[in-house]
Amino acid sequence: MTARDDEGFGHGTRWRLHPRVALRPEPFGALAYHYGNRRLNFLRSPDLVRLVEELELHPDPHEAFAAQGLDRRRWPAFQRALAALARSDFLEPAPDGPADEATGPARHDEVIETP
Amino acid sequence: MSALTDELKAGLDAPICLTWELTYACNLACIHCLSSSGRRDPRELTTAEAMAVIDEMRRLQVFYVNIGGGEPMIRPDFYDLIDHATSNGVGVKFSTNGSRIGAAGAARLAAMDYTDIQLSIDGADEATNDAVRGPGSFATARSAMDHLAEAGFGPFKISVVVTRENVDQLDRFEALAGHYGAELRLTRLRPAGRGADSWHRLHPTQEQQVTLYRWLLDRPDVLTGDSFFHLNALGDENLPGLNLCGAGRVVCLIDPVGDVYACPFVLHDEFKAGNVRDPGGFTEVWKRSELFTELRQPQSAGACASCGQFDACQGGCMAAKFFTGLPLDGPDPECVSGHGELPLASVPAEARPAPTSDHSKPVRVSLGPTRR
Repeated sequence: MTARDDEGFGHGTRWRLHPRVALRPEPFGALAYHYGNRRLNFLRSPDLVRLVEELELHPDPHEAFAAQGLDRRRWPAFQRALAALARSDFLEPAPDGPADEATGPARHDEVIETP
Repeated sequence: MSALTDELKAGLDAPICLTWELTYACNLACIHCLSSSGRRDPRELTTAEAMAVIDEMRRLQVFYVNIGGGEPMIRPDFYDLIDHATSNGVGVKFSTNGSRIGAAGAARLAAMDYTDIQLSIDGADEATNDAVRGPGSFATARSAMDHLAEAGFGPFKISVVVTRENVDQLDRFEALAGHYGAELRLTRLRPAGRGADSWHRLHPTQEQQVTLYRWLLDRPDVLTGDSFFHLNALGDENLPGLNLCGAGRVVCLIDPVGDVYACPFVLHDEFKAGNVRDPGGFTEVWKRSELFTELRQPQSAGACASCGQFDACQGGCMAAKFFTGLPLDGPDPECVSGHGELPLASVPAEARPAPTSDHSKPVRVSLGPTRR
């Protein structure tokens, strides 16, 4: 998928944070951890954190951007960030019924070394 | 350098990667043991104290903890502790030599969620491995791997410290991991603990470092946990990872008696930030200790400032410099541009820092036949 495709990400779909993802506030935004696939992501702006938390309240990402009052010039960047999160299962289409279980291989993220 | 790296260097509200060594007791006596383990320390955290540490991790949203030792499975409350962690949202990855993983243990582990296992070997065959980890240790680890595979544990990790003796076996390690459907994990040999002595003859040669760098670039799925970021100065392409020393910023270590160190490779008084038994517990040490506050300040590149590769290698590993007696703001002893060689050669052995803690078992001296 190209960056340009990502800028059209999620149009017409209600998205939400995967139920097995936890957010930990940090000075730069938040750390996101997925208990299903055990991956770690950095949400690198407080606006992005608020956005993913409230994504489910809006019919699609554009509506969410508008509701947040985000400057239109920043929309493509946020859309790319959301697309990346969706690719690693941190976001999923908000279901009408119960949530899907997590997918992906179980492994603890290895961004930093341990013995 | 990315803004994220700058932000991480200024420290996080809680560690991303917390290593917790549960005990200094170990049935092995590996010659490169970072924590000089062997004998249990009588001051070891009690079960109640260890449970309280886990509760703090939950409150801090430490998403997972890396458990090690010593041999962590020796602790009688080992399963209770990992059960308490995983049922409180703190995932566990633990390192073991495999000596406590028989058929029953493997079945029990296979039934647990949020638990990853790293089995340590340091050679792809018995001779190479046992020279570092001791007689019988290769067979023991293989037996544990067999039991885990039979029990359907899933993809465990095979963890290898890269040495001068095993760097030629990388393909064989990869094949072994493939055989078990396991993940291969390679990490860097550090001159810490008992490794302070063995490092000088076991660390990879300059030529081997180049081989390793290329081998890793071709295999992004091999885990390294950012272990080899000093190799990034070898080419235009960086190995996957954050490419920074996370000590006291995103990483730390809790030792078996509750002492908190800046990283798993610097168990030395100079890098001790406090103890989980202190008022305010681990949280206070992480957030406000003098040492960690200092490590989160911008660090000087020192003698490396004039080198064009500094952005790539970040001056290398603090622990590697410290335990070889090199200045912390100069080149890594394994600097790939060779800037560490001269400083390293000019440090006399007695100028290297003396260990401040050693739990090695007493060495048995063979006296030979007694004369009558």
